[in-house]
Amino acid sequence: MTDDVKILAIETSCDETAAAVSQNGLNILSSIVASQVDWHRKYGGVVPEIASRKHMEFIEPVIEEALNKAEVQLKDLDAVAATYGPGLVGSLLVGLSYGKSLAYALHKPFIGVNHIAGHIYANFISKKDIKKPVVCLTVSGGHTDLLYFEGYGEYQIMGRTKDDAAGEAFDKIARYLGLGYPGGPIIEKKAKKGQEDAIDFPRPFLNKDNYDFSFSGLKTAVINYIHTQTQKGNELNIYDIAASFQRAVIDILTEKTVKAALDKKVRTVILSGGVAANKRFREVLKKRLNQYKIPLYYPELKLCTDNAAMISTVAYYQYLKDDFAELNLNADPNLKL
Amino acid sequence: MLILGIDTSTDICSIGLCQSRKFLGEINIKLKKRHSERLLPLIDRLLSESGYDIQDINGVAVTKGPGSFTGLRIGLSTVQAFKQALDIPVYSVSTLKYMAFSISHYYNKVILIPTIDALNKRVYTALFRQADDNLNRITQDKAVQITSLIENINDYNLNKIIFGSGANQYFQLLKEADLKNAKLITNNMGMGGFNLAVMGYHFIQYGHDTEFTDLVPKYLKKPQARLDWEKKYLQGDEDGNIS
Ligand SMILES: [Zn+2]
Repeated sequence: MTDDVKILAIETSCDETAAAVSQNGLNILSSIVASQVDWHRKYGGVVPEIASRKHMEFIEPVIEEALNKAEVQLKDLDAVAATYGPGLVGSLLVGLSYGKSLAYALHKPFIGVNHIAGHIYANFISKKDIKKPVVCLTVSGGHTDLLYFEGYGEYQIMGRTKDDAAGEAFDKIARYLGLGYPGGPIIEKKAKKGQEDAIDFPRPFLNKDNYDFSFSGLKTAVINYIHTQTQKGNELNIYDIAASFQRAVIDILTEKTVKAALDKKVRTVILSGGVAANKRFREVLKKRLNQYKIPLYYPELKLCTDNAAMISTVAYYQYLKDDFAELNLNADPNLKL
Repeated sequence: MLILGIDTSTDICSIGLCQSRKFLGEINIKLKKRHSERLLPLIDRLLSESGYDIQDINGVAVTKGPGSFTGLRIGLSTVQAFKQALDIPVYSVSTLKYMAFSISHYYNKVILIPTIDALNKRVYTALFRQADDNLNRITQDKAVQITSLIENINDYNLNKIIFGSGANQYFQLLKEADLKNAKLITNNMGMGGFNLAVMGYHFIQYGHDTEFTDLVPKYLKKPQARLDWEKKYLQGDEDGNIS
């Protein structure tokens, strides 16, 4: 057993092509992310076939760059890791095939990593002394997952979205209003100039006694509202719509997260995923958690969004447990924790 | 020189191994959508049965399309990784050219027409002339309506061999068409990783054309979202790539 474990990790579950090298798990030697957002923007969302094609073009140079930046040669690696789910199957297959083949050709062990676990571990990279247990909410265009985490390797999924991811709802409303893509930052900007209580949009699932989310009802309500107002010939107040919609999403996310934190009596709440960058959301959630003296923590943006550093950290803890995958590991787009 | 050939462009996964031009082994197996699970274990099996290790190989030959988009990406990302890990030369070739090469030894003075089913009465195809041990390309790889293929090939007087999964899928249409001097082959003749490995050997030993070293698929078809977008905003072209 060596005490200096270097792992190369590959992440291609959605529309970011990423590779990273870590040393002993939390020490990130390099983390490279090639974003495809420019290629998906004109379609108003991620197009799976285009994402797969771009991964094919980016993966080799991204890995090369990660190795160069870390000043690590392939022969120095102790293992190769790749995300094998959840995500877009065509995208996952590019990174997984590459990772497995690289490990096989180098005679190194291969580690298959769950992407959701990565988002939890991202927090421990930037802040090593987070008090456990924690509840972690991952919200992005790809997920809305509420997780309970006790220690390395011990976590459970408490709830997730039954339909759209929260970030997806932002994208769809932004597209409907003709505001562009990605929707999150655009809606947040418009919302600053609007009234949060101007329109009373529904908060689906808020009163149910579980931790699952649903955003499609809210999305429909917003679209219906816009439609009705247009029919009546009323002028739309984009700012009020954005602010009221955003607040409805924030309320749903906040109440579920607070409920989970209280039920599980955790010491910290963690936010991750692209929607964690929403300042108003952080503000509202922080205020609610303050009532119970539970600290809220969110990592820097580059660790919030999809990256391979977090995958390499999870892989390290799997490495310590000899949790290696066989050559026949397949991508699992619906992988659960 | 030990060369590995990998073809994942159709539902028949084919891998082969050659020592220079000498046959060492080949596995051809219908996998449907299980290439991701089976490719590496099959490569491992072929190598170990032949008494070799992956680190012994001196080069890899791979098909880069046309074919199944997912299959191509699995094969090509695998070869990208082998290239990076082992620092060896690679040869990437049109699936259609590889099909034509595979049966070219059996014919002389003919036009070889490999076809791959591209769904909705379309095929991926190209025309090659085989004469006196020389295989020459006549037309570029394209996705065409089976009817337009039928119209165009009657212009050629030489004997024609139409084969591959497209010939299989549209056998009735082809049989009923008034094709002159054409022979239809509907078994899977033409697909075999050994032939691919031998093509790789020739290229790596004597070739120097960079067209055959890039490891990105040639799709020949754009993503549907892109086609819809183009229909709305501009006139599209025939190129399968996007920007
Ligand atoms: Zn993610």
